[in-house]
Amino acid sequence: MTYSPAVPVESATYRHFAVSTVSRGQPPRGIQSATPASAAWPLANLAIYVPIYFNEAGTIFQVGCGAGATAGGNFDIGLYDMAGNKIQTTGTQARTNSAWNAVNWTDLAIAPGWYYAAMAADGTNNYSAHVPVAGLLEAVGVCEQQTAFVLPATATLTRTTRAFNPNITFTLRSVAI
Amino acid sequence: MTFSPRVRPYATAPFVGPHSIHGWYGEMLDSAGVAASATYPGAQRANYYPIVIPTACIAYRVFWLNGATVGTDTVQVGIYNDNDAGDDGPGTAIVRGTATTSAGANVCQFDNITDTVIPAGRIWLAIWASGTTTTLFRVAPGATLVKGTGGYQETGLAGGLPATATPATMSAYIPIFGFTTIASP
Repeated sequence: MTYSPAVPVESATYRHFAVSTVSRGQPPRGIQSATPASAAWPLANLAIYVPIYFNEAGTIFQVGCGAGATAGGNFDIGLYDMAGNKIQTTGTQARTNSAWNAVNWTDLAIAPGWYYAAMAADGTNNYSAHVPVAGLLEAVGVCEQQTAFVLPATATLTRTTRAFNPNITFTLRSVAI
Repeated sequence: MTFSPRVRPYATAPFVGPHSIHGWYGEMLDSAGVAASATYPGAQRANYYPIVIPTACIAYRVFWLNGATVGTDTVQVGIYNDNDAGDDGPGTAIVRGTATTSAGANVCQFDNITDTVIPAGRIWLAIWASGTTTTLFRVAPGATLVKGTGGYQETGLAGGLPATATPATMSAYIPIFGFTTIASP
């Protein structure tokens, strides 16, 4: 007789996966089902904070976002706790147009739970985003902060009325038990 | 040494409503479309929707998302226990907000309530409006799909949300509303 656990134990030492603000399971997907598209960042130096859930412990080794066609601009991606305290950010990153912009950062071990995925841009260049009807993102807890490039040490969280959910993606490795 | 499990029970979201992962979530989006502004469907009517809270939490505020036209009605949101008698549906109120005149188009309107512990398990969110001039963002899944959301309605509630819910009819009007588990923003 062999033991077959109800939940399979990973066979690999590491497995990689990504958690995004547009993923199924994250709050904005409850009000928006469309595919993300290229859209202009709403305001120069605006930071957007999106509630995001990590359901297991892991190590974030890379973050990223999609950029639209026109060249130029810089962005900053980070992770904050629910009180608005910065956990880690990339710092300013030159934007590469028409490409996925991946940034390797210092490995960040996280515990399961709720966080804010944060992104700021210094211009109004296009990024990959959901653009739902104004008001819907406020109803899932999305926040913003003006004059916040680069991302601050402590976020001053204000509910957003804008219609822009950037595709902020965190890539993790998860160690087998 | 402390034990830190790798996987924890899903923690309750900061904004909880029928549209959140604890409710119908995005399941109705494909069939009913994205939420849009529409008038409240009936004066003095309460609408109830079930959600499942994965871990106990504190409700600090209730809220609703006003639609494109600001009406002259009052709106009230409450949280109910599952039916104490064991039937399908809401039971007694856990906490009820204050009936408040709607204000502000296309924005969430908040009502601070007494901080209230919400137990894990199935509870019901309720929303009531005094008239039909108020608009809210909502999805309308239609009569043949509404059972999937488990929503009910109760009419003739001149005094707002009742202490004990006694709905009898399914509701095909699912607004964007709920409560928050964070005190601000």
